[in-house]
Amino acid sequence: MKKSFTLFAMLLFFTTFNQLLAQDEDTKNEFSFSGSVDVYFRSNLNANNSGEGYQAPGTSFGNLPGFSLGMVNLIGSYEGDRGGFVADLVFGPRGEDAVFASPYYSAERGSSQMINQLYAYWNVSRSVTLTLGNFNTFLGYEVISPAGNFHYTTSYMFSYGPFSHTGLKADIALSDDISVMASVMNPSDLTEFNPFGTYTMGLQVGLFGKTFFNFLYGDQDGKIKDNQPVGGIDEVSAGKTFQADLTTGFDLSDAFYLGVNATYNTTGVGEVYDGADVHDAEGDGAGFYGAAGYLQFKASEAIAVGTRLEYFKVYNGGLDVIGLDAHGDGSVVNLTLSANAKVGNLTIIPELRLDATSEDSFQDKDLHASTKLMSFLVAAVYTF
Amino acid sequence: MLKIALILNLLMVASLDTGWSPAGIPSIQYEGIIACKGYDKATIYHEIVDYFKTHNISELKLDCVNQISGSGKLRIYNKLIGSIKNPAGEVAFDFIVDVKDEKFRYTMHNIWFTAIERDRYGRFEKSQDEPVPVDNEHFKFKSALLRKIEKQVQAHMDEVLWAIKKEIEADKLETTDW
Repeated sequence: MKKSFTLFAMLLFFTTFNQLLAQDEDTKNEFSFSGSVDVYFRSNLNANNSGEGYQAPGTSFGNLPGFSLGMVNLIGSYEGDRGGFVADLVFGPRGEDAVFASPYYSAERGSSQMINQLYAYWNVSRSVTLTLGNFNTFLGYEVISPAGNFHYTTSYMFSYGPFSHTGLKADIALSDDISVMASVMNPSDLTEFNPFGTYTMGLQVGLFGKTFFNFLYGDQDGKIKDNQPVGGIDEVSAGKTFQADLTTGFDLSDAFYLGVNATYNTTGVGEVYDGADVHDAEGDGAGFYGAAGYLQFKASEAIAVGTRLEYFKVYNGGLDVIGLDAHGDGSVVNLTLSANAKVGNLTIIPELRLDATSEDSFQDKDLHASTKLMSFLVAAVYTF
Repeated sequence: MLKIALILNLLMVASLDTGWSPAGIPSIQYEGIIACKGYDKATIYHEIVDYFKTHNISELKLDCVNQISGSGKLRIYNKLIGSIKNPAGEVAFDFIVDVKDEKFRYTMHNIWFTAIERDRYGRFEKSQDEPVPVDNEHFKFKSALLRKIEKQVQAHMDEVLWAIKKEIEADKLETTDW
């Protein structure tokens, strides 16, 4: 992997070096500042809202009880003809969850926890852009910022796919309708630096600017070193992760829009240290897959209603976020009904959500095991 | 005093026509007339052509000695505090310049708006939505944005008028230079 990364970097350098020499100074210099603030109120309808019995869906963001804070998102960006940068900072519970793997570098000081994205890019030509740094993931239909989503809470597929990557990516527009993105990145969500020495490859093929086929492949937790296993006997390292993902959307009419997301994720069993040698572990890969539809109706410029229907399946104990059967399998159906009411730059999002799992995953008000959780939330998202 | 003299020398009429138009064709247009006393039609015409050729205007058409037409684009901004801003969208427009002795008229019409939004990586990109005609009908629920577009298009038009006038006057100075 290291060798292929070096070759990739050299190829990029030599193919773009002449472009670097040929171009003039920037003629467009534009600094922009924008962001959002989000807050919400959340309550379970069939489960406790405080104490040990407090329940929430196993998805990311918008899970705190009562009146709660989302995040402050401040984005500064500079755009020139030849390149620019984006510095995207987050503060608050949603932001902390979004950069959950930071600070890896310095737990005491921890300023890395506020960095959601930090990258610089170079417009090599009209059709090729190179980006180096930390950027949000290209997988999945939903995004970290609530300003970019219709629903305030998030899907299982989004929550358990990667959030962010740090690496080098090349965006290539092959035509007006076809685009390709290829990248070499750290293990997912390890955004400050690469502590494991393994790299992940990313590929995205875009059609008509609306349909994207996304692929991710690589070792997310490094290899066990033969001569210095850190964890001693029975130290295990997972194998390579492969994820394939589709996002697309259709305008069914002037008022109706349908978005679709499907994903498949698997991680190999990897290797184990038995006290003497490192050898391949036995067993099947584990992971998850799912699909979701997002149907939205725009009643006016100010009012829209929408629903998200998601099916999410964990297999071979790939995740421990919902109840699983004896084989490590379990599934959940998530039905979310939301409205978006816009008052200028403010969006009010009332939301009703049902999570129904195949195995017991929640507790009802009497602390009895339950397969269903019904919750209500109203959020306010202000963008500027 | 010089400033007052310039203002007196300038007869500028900016108008906003919001009348009815066939469906799908933006009805709002902007018109500005500026006086250039002491300059004949041919001089004004050539200065205007030179101005647009150096300002990357696409599809510049020189149909006759009285008229220049073309199309252009203008970014519309949300202004936050002071000079801090971010792009709200881009308007594409057609323009016509009618030239007469000692004056010319600049008209912007067929104005379409495309929103600019942050993409999932935080970069500003043009929205995938279709461009929207800039008129009251299509912006009845976005009146604040319409006002912003109107104000900035008007400012752009004024800037173009003044810039052309300035270039015409600058050239006159050169002719007196022995």
